[in-house]
Amino acid sequence: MPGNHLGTQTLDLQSDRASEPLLKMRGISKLYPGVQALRNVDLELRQGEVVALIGENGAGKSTLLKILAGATTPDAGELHIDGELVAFQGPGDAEKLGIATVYQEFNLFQALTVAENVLFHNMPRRFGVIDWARARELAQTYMDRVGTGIDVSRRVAELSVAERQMVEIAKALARDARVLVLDEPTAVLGGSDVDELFRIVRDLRADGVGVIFVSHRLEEVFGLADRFVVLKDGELAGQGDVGDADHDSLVSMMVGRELDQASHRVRSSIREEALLQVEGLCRHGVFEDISFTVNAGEVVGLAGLRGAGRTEVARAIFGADPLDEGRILLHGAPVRIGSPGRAVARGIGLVPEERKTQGILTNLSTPPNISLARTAKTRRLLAFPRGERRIADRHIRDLGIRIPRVDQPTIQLSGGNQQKVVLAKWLEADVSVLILDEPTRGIDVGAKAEVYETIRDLCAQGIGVLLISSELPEVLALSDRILVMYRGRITAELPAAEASEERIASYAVGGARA
Amino acid sequence: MRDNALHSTGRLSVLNRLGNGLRATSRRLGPWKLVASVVIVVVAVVVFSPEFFQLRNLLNVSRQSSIVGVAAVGMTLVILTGGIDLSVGSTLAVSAVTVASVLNSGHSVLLAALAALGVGAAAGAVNGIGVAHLGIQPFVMTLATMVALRGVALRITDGGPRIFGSESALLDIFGSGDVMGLPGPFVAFLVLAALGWFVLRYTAFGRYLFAIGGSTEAARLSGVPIRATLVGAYMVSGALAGVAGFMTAARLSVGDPSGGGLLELDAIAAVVIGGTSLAGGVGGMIGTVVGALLLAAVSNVLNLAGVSPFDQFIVKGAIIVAAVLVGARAAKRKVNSSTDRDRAEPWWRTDRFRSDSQSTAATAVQRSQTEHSASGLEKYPINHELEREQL
Repeated sequence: MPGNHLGTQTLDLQSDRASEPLLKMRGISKLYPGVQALRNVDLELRQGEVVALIGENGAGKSTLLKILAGATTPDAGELHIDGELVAFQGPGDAEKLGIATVYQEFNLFQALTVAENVLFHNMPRRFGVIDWARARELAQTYMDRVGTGIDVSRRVAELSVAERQMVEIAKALARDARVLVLDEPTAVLGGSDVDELFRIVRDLRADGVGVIFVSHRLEEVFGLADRFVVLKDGELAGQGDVGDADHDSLVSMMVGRELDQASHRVRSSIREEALLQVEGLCRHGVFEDISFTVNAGEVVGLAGLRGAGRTEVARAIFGADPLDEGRILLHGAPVRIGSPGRAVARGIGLVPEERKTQGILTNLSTPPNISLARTAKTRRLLAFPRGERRIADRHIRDLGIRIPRVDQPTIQLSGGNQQKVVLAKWLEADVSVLILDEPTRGIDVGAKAEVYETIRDLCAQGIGVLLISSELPEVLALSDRILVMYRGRITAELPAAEASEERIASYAVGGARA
Repeated sequence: MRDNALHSTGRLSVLNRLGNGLRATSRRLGPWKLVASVVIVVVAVVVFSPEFFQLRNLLNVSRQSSIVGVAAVGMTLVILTGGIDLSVGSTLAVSAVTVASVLNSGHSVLLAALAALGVGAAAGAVNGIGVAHLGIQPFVMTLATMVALRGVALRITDGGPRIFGSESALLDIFGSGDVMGLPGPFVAFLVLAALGWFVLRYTAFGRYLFAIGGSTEAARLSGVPIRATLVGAYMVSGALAGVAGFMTAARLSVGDPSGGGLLELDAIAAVVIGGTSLAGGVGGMIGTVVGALLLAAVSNVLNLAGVSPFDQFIVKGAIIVAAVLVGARAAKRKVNSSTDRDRAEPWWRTDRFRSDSQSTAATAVQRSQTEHSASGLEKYPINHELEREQL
């Protein structure tokens, strides 16, 4: 099955037009109201090539992907497939021509099985009804191709994020995808899952599939891609072979300036004043015996693999999830939290993992978003738009939130700016303890540096921060102390001076000593 | 393979283009689309039934709009949270027969009014507790109370209408009287709508409604009291249905246990026509007022033009669909924001069960609306008599 899936057409094409790139975009421009999202962008993709598409959020990557997926049409420019000019009327057209896009938010039917999802568009039929035995068998061959032991009769809802991603890729294979577009595929994955994904991508490359791969992590670009394309402010800022580029040159193409590489700074702001203490926290089957302290002005890093229980601990402290045992002390006094409302009232804030569904209200504009937690905390009855606007203006200035019109819904903001709105919400609510869960996930390098800056400012004001992050450089750069979790337990506590990526990683996978 | 693609594109696009064209037009019109629809309706009316614009008839239309309008004000709050309240019609009936019972047992009109309000708020509290504390889907919870409360109304009066003979200024104002030259019920509607507008714009409660409709989880994690807010929204909706019951009883001097039939659907239609998204989080009160007026105006014009009541239902259904097509596709945009912000997909092409459940519910409502219209014919003559009485 595998070697054969491209079909005879591709083989013909290989001989006929070996010189033609699989995909060619020429002079693509797209104007959204008020924003030139893309200006005269070119992109080429050959068979068996992996192209990394990089750029800050808002650089136009998403728009380019949407055009490629047929989800939106360019105002100008041409799209060639196998050297032929094509125009997409809708997503269906792109798929029929062999372009499959795997978005960050997967397009899977949660309630259906893996087999049904993989073969959704071409279920094998017999006498007009679905041939289930054949369907399972066929789906299994596609799943085997992405190399997993996932049972195709399981429901997608039961699968992990990494497994769902594999289902998406298998779905693309089942539709004879020749161009696979992966939108930040690694943003949602933990370490070993990333390796697995890279293996799959390399296999596909060997089979002649062209892959376009969006990432914010430059080490992945070097680890996987053959060529890179950099977008900045909707224009092509550079492209070339990965072999000819290095980390710094890519970064400067992306941001047009040298970045303050998140280096650790010794903090003078830490006071020996325990803001948050937790003792023996336990939620059966999820985490056990969690005890630690966060001091005023301190960043405590919580490292570990995805699924180690970090997010669950954070949510339990914040009252969003139940707690079976243990106690929580704020400013030295035991408190019962029990609900997010009470946590907010007591001055705890949470910047959740899922920004778009849990952090921000995408239907509302920036001012009510920023004032929401404060309104809830102070229990005032009235909320004046003009006052909210004034408050928002201040945070927009202080945090450098880039926003064309202050009254537009936050769904139109880039990820980095959305995250700044969430941070502003907690600043405005006057928190003393702030829990950050993957605060820079899916955020571009520039905004990341600004978020780091904001976190440091918070500490300078005496706020205690609990930082959950899967990016070890981030944990190392920001934390004063680092806790490592493994399977629901804290397995190590390391002062920043003694921590290294290797040591954290070895504790995170259950190792005893590095 | 490629030829195939282009072929099917051609086939698909006829209806698609029509829909996209309509939506594109509506986008260009922006905030003026409600005004534009009103203008279109006005022009049509001038042609078909010029007597519509006689002052007396206009006042009559405003009176017609007020009962649906009052219920729609409360419905707006509930729908903004992403919920729905199907029980307002039955609540109206319970409230109306309560008013009749209180008055017939010799109590004051003021007490009857407070009882109407209280009964409505209590019914809303039941809905709110079911939705917020027991986690029952709003559609199911309020469907259950819709059925049960109809039974309560029938039980109170033993099935028949309960006539009462009381007269008072309060009954007059909320019934068939005037305030400063305007119909009393219409003034009540406007005052309540203005209050609702204030609540949505200037209160924390209003913010919470939008927040919950946008994302309940994000709202919860921001410290918003979800349960209290939801219970509050349903209680307001119930209480306003109670007010609508008082208004109905006051107007006819009768507490009719079968009153308020289809009220929930008219109220939902008014809210939806007003641009509030059934998915929650997007919309407002001004649109609801326009929606309620538009519905009343359409009924009135059709009556004046001598259109049969059967055909009126069909026209009304068509108007609801047209209004939703022209109105903001906010819900769709919310659902598909990540993949196609600028090109809203029709719901049947959205590849997601979870995110799409809301819009599916929306179409279910529209569907049940048509079905109900067919089965609810026997209730219609009541409304009809009202209209003739006023003329």
